[in-house]
Amino acid sequence: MKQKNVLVGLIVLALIGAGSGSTGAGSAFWLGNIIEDIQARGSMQVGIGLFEPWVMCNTAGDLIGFEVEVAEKIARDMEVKLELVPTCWPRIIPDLIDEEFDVIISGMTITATRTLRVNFTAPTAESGLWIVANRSKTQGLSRLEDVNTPSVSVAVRGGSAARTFVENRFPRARLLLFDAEDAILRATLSGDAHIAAVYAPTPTRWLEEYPTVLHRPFEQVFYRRPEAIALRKGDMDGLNFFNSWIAVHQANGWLDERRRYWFETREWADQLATDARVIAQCAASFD
Amino acid sequence: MKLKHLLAGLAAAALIGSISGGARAQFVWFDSVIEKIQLRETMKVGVTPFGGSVMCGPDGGLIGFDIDIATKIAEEMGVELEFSMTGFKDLIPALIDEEFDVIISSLGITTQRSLRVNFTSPADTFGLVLVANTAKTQGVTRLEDLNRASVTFAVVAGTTGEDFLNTDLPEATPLLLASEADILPALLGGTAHVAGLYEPTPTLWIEEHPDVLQRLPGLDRQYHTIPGGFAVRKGDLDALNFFNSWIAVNKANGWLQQRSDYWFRTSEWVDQVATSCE
Repeated sequence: MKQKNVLVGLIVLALIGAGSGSTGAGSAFWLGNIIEDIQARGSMQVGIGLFEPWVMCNTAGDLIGFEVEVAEKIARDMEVKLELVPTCWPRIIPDLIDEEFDVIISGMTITATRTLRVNFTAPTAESGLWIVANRSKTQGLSRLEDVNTPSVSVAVRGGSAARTFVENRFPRARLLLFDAEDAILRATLSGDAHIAAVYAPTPTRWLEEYPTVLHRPFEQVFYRRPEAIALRKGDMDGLNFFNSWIAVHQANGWLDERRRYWFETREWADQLATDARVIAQCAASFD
Repeated sequence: MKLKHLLAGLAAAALIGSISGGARAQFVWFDSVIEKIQLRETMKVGVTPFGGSVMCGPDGGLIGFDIDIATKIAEEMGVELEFSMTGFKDLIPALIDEEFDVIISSLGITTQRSLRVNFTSPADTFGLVLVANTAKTQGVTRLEDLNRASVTFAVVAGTTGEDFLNTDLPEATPLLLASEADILPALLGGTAHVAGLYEPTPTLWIEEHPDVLQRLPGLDRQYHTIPGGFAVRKGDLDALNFFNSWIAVNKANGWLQQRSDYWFRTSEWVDQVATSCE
């Protein structure tokens, strides 16, 4: 079945090539239609990776999270069953191409490199940098320009987009580079760093845990990265279907509302697995 | 050249059919409807009557937002325009049967419809407005007050108004009618207590019958907002790209917004509307 689609693609390519007299390099394209496959099978198979709060394990060992909810809603709207296929992240694109599942619905960030291998839908959501500040060290700080001075130290992860952002936006601030988010948190709590620029949703957890020490002085989200659903190349009707679904759920506010729930609240935190065996078993399914 | 494409398409369709045992045989469109329109020098557009979008005008012609859009596209393509007036529920089947080339604009994008046709990017968005028979809806202040079997709620069958009824007011008694024109007498006579309709119809009806109809206090907002796009047959990606490009241009230059405001947020055009297209 899987080989068949690729085979057909190659034969068609050969025919078109022969007919139009072109000698273009023959890369295999997928001539399937995932929407028809999903409907014929009565279920949608979705590749996912384990990332809080996109995809997480709950106390029963089941998967919850923003992307789990998106996949569930699409399946419900299509009137088919949902099969989540836990996949280790580095393998998720190769597995999609090998037809291990139908689509990736896992908060995958759109990048040019990935777009060479898969087709992305329109963005389902964006993640971005939040600015978190040590309250006592940033009194009187009211405008973004106030950060751009040598007396303010800003903590970011080295080699990340956050560093590029801070260097461009606050070139005069003192830059503190760290390897891990935990180290950034400690520096900001102690006051060594006055401000931290960190990708959501991590800052939501920090602000909840240390409300008296930390706050979010600016509502803006910086350096936004679009996330989307990924499909095999060649399947344009499939792409159009998911794009239409996204257009609908952006217009009616569903995507924004669910994104806020998972990224700006921690109301779901008590559903998370705490039992070490449950966590280990659930995580192992992604190996 | 054309023949070659068609041949390749047929060969591909035949191959897919034979290899997969015929179960998933589908025609592969190598010739876009955009080419057909240009060869024929006429664009055939499927439309359905809706206040503001598609209405009968003076001299037996059609007027409205969708008509403006189709007219502008045909002008820019340098082709004639042919409208095919179709009942709402038959729009998608007729498109698939190639009775016309494209459905323009007032078709709300939904998951179920997206399984059958390809939609362009949204050209506009619509929200449902509630119009009530004042005498029959005394004391209604919250949406929950309408979610009762004693409330008869009218919508046009098969529209997203019906989806709204199913998801938000499952307990209400539905009154599914074929067109907006059928809803007005039901609402005036009191058979329907409330109706869910798209602008500008609610505004016009309330202006005409201020003693009988009203917007419900506390519920005067848009419900179930959905994007509207053009629909084309599946597989025809060049058509999708052509119309998406047209929409991108006419969003950027403000034309779509300007026409939408004129047809859905003013009533300047009301005296042009005729009751029938004869």
